[in-house]
Order: sequence, then C-alpha cells, then structure tokens
Amino acid sequence: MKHILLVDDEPDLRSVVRQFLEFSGYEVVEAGDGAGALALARARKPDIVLTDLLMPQKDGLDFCRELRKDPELFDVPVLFVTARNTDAALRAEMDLIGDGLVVKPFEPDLLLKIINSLLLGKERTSCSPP
Amino acid sequence: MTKDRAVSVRIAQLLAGVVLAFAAFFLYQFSNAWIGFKVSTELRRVGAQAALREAERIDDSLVAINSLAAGIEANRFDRSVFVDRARKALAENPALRSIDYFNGNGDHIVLVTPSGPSDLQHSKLKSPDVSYQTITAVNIVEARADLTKSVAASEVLRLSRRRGDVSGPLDVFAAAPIIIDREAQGDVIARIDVHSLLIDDLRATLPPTKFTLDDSTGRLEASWPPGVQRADPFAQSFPIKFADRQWQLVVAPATPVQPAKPWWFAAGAFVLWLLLSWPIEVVGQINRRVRVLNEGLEERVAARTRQLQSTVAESRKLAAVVESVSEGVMLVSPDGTVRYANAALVTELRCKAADLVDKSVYDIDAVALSATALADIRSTVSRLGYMYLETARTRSDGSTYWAGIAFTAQRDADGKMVGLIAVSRDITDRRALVDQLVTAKDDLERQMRVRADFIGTASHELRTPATTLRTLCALLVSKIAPRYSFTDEDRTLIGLLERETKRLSLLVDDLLEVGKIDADEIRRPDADVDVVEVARSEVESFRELSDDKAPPVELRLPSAPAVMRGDEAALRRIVDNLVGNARKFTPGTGLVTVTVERSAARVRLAVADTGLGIPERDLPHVFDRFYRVERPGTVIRGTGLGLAIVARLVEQMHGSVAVSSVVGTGTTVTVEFPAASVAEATSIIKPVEFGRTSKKPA
Repeated sequence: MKHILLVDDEPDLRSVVRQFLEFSGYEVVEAGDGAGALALARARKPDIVLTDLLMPQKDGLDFCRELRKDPELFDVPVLFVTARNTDAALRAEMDLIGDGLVVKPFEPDLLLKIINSLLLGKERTSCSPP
Repeated sequence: MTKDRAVSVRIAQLLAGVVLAFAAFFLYQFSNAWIGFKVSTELRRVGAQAALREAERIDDSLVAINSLAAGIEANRFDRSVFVDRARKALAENPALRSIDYFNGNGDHIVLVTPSGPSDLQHSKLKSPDVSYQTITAVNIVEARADLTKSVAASEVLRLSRRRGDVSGPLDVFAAAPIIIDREAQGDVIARIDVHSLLIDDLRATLPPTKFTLDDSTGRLEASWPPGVQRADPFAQSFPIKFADRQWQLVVAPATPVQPAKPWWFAAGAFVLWLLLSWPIEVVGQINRRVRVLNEGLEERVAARTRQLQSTVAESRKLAAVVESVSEGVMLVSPDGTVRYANAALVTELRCKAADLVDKSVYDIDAVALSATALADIRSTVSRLGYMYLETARTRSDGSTYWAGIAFTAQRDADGKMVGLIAVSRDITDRRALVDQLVTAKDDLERQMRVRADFIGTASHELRTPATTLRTLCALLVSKIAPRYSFTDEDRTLIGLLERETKRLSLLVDDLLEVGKIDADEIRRPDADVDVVEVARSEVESFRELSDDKAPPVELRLPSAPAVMRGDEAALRRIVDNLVGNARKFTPGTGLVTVTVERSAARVRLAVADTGLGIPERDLPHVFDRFYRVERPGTVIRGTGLGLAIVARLVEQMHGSVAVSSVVGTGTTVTVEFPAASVAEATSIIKPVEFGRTSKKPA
C-alpha cells in the first residue's frame, strides 16, 4: 500500500482528505506544519508528499527544500496544495523544487488522478536499470 | 547736356593750365639767362678793374717788402736800419701806412709808421694768432723761396695799407709767407684773397672764398669752406695781369641762390591755375553732392528717429504688458541683485517696489535660494534655456506662500547672458490641490493594497472550507452512501448537496478571480504570447478531460505563431472560460470550434459553438458581472462571472471582445488583440498546473 504524507495546518481539511485518500486505498500520515512533517517523513519514508504552502513555523517550500537535501528523501514526489497561486516568484520556486501544484478548492477525483500519475512516474523511474 | 558742358569746361581749363605752365617755364628760363648774362658782364668788368689796381699796388708793395727783407737779411735785423728802410718804403709807397715786425717768437718788435717807430716795447702778441689773423686777412704774400723758409720760421713783416685810397677801405698786408701748408719750391708764391679784393664791389653776394694762384696753369682757383656749394651759373673767370704774367681769375660764390627748378614753377603755376579755375565747377559739384548727402542723412535720421520712436513705443508697450501680467516678473543680475520687479510681484509679496529693486534676491527667496542655488539656476538656464522651480516665499508681512518660478535668460544684443528673468506665480492653491491628489492617490494605493491583502486572505480562508466540503461530498457519495440504503429521494438530496458545493467552490473561485483581476492589473506582465500555442494547449487539456456528454472541440490554427503582448496566464484564463462556457451550453452532439487568425495588426481568437444561443435582448449584458441568461427549463447554472472575467482581462490587455449569437443555432465569441511586432513567438516555460478549471474529469 502506498504511503502518503499529508501536510496541512487545517485539521478539518486534513482529516477529510485523509479519509478520502484512505478510502481510495492509500495509507496516510498527517502533519500540521513543516517541522513536524519533516520529522514524520524521515521516520516513515512516504511514497508521496501532499503539502500546503502557507503554514506556521515552517512553510511548504522550506519543508520541501529540506526534503530535497535529505539523501533518502530527495526523490519523493511533492505535490503542493495551495489556495494561492498568484505570486509568480512562489510559483517559479514551486515549479523548480516541486512535482505539481493543485489549487484549492480542487476536485477530489482530480487529486486522485494526479497522485496516481506521480506515483506511477516515480515507480517507472525507480524501475529503470541502475 | 549739362554734364557734357561740364566736361568741355573741364578740358578747356586743363589746356589753359598746361599752356600757362609752359609760359611760366620759358619765362623763368629767359629771366635766368638774362640775370646770368648781366652778372657775368658786371663781374668781369669789376673784377678786371680791381685786379688791375691791386696788381699795381702789389708790385709797389713787393718792392718795398723786398727791400725791407733784404735789409733784415743783410743786417741781421738792425733795428735802426730796419726802421730807416721801412720809413723809406712808406715814403715811396703811399699805399702803405705802417710796417710791423714780429720776431720768430711772435714778439712784436717794431711798428714803423711814416712818422717813425712809435713803440718798440709793444705789448706782446701771440705770434700764431697774429700770423693767422694776418693770413686770413692778408691779400698778397710774395717772397723768394729761401726767404719764405727763414722768415716763416722767424720773423714776420706786416704792412698796413693806408685807408681812404682809391681802392676803398681795404687793409693790405705784406708779410713773410708763413702759410704753413704751403711750402713753396718755385720762384714765386703768391696768394690773393679775392674775397677781400672784391668785397667792396660785390659785397654780400660772395661768400668767404679763398683764391689760389696756380703757377703751373696760370689759373686762379677759388675755394670755399666745406659745406658751401658751388653754383655754376655764377662761376666766372677772367684773366688778370699779375707779376708780369697773365692769370686767370676765377670768381665763384660759395652760397649761390638756390633757384627753384623750372618744372616746379610750371607745376606750381598749373596747380595754382587749377586751384583758381576749378572751384567754380568743383564747388558746384560739391554743393550738389553735399545736398544729396544731406538729403540722405536727413532721411536716415528721420528713419532712425521713427525706428527709435517705434522701439520706444514697443518697449513701452512691452513694459506695460510686463507690468500688467498677473505673473510676478523679476530681472535678476548675475550677482543676485533684483533689477526690476513688476506690479504683480510687488502685490504678491505685499511690499513696495522699492523694497525689491536693487535688493538681493536671497532676501526674497531666502528659503530656497542660496548662492550655490543661484549659480545652479544660471548654469541650468544657460545650458537648457529654461528652469522651473517651486519654492516657499516669505512675504514682507512674514506669511509664506508657494511660488512656481520659471527662470529664463536675459540676453544682450550679442546673445550674451546678462541676467535672469524670473516669472513667478502663487501656486499655493495648486500645490494644495496636488497635495490632496497625492494624498488621495496614496489612499487609493493603500486601499488597493488592503484589498489585495484581503483577497489573498479571503482566498485562503474561503478556499479551504470549500475544499473540505468538496472532499466531504466525494466521501459521502463514494464511501458513506454504499453503506446505507438511501432512497432515491435521499440520493437526489445528496446530489443536490454535491452540485451546490461544487457551485459554491466555483463561485468562490470566480469571485476571487474577479477581485484579483482588478488588483492584478498593475502587476500584469507584458510579454510576448503566442495565441496559437495557448489555444492549442488549452484545448488539449480539455480533450484530456473530455467527457461523453461534452461536445468535441475543433481547432483551426494558422501554421505560423500569432504573437501578441500580454499576460499568458490571463490569456489562458480567457480561452479556458470561453471554451468552458461553449461546452457547457452545447450538447454532446454539437461542436465547439476554436479559431485563431492573424492579420498584420491584429490577432483574433474566436470560440464558436452550436449550442443554445443567447437571446438578442441579453446580448448587451452578457459581459456584466453576475448577469445570467434566463433559460427556462434548463438546469445549466453558471456563476455569471465567466464572461465578465473575460471582458475585464481582454480590456486590460488592450483587446476587444464581441459576441454574436442566434438562439438555437449557436454563439460565437470573438476576442481581438493588437499583434506584437515580433514575428517569432518566444518559447515560454509553463508551470504544471492542475485543478485550475471547472472541467469535469472523465
């Protein structure tokens, strides 16, 4: 079963999305901010990360940067989920270090599709000969 | 005619002048020749007489001298013998009056007169003086060569000739030949000073002239002191008999009358004639010319006067204008002194003109001007010709106001800058207005920032619960519903919940988008965007999500890029909204066509559908916010913002949008933008983005 790390500072949203993803057949761990998410990611080694952009303490971008520096986690697909998509500089940064961007409010089915395709892409990369 | 006459008169005058000049020349020559002839004749006559008489006397004197000399020599100067002999000579020759004897030292030894030796103890005389005096005065010297030598070295005899003789008042001396420069070797040395000889007859006409008798040639030479010129016309020579020989006596004056050259006479006469005869004509001419000149001068004076008058009038007019304009006008000299201030400035500063003129400009504009500032103004004005400055000015009563001062250069006739012209105006009101405007603009900007912040926050705050609701609905349908036996009515309610939730999130999305579009206007990028590429990629993303109920989307694109200037994200949003709308209102059996065309100046994008169409009465309002076409019996709902967003974005990118529709046939929305001048579309890296549209997944 694929492992999803879900990071968002909204507990209700987190909970509903977790249930939705679990119902769709994924194992989900949650974190409320970037710092907690980083610890959790190191502990659980998720197959994919869904993270909010704006969070207290450590935001989604900082968290993603930390992931990319970690030798065990640098290739984990990161999907940004954000309500803000206007700032060109932020978007450029997300394009650079992230694997995708989903703008709230999103279609739950669309989210599933994206996750699937990202995981498939990762698998294909992993399966390629060393 | 007058001119011809004047010329002939002139020629006649010239000819007369020439004739007169020739006459003067010949007259002069003739008179000259006549005078010469008369003079030479007279000279010859007088000279011959005088020479003859003197020759006789000299002969007598020589006899006496010879006997005396013989006596001196024979007796080794025995005084009594000498006196006796001298007395005898005086008695025999009535021409002699006295005989002096000087010894070799120049001592006067004896003076012998007919009555006897008067004194032997005569005062001593310097012999050289005596000798020379004697020589210059002596007429005749005759001695033998041997005597000459010895006497010259020692004794001198002076024979004084008696006055009142026939020959006139001449003293004749006989002396030993003591002429130093003449050392005679011949038998006779004779020297005759013809000056003395002829002095009575020719008087002042002859200069001091020395005549020398030349033995070898028999010619009596005349010589003059240096610097005296010899004039030939008066040179005369004639023979005389002297000492048993024939002599040639040459008489010449040393200072001849310098006759004017005859041609000078002629020229003088000519000029004189001209001077006398021409004035009549010349004066007339000069008069005429002077009159013409006068007239010209008067004319010029009058013109200049008129010009000056008009200049003065113009200056007065200008001064009046300057004085009456509502702006303050001030002339400032380079050192900062106010040279002039008009009435408006005086009023403006609430003072008297005397308080400004000749005062320093720093006293008036003390707040803003310093010596450096004035120098800066001068250099700016001389460089650019103009400078504008806004400064606070203090009035004489202490109140301050804002003045806008325009500085220009005051130049002299040569274009040299001689000062500054400062035209000022009270701009306190305008400044207040500007301040208000600036404040208002600041307020507006602050409000816009606040709104942008609000939108950012609201977007986050509204989107999150909307997301939660959407996900909840999905869970309800997929996870919860299967567990319960819902009635059809229940399912309808759940479906309603799902639809309304979806609509709510769409509404939030669009509402925020509308607000954001306005807030983004300032920040909207202005880059090259290829409309063809945008249309292709957007339509492709629709095809990916194509569902069976939606109509297919057909693309009609040109092969070349169609580039415009603008924001690519905004253009994507436009295409997205238009295609989304078209699909929404078109049945699956219909067709949506996206066409891009490019002309020289425009890029056109048209989205046409074969859908329901829009009633004619609604067409003018389709771009209004929240305007929705009432379609009884249909369940298709929109937020009413889609086309409004399109219209706003198109407007922001300087384009135009138009809609045409026929109910039951279909609708075409056409968007046009100015084409960019760049022919090639720049390749743009596009971020991966999901969920930006309301497209329904398959």
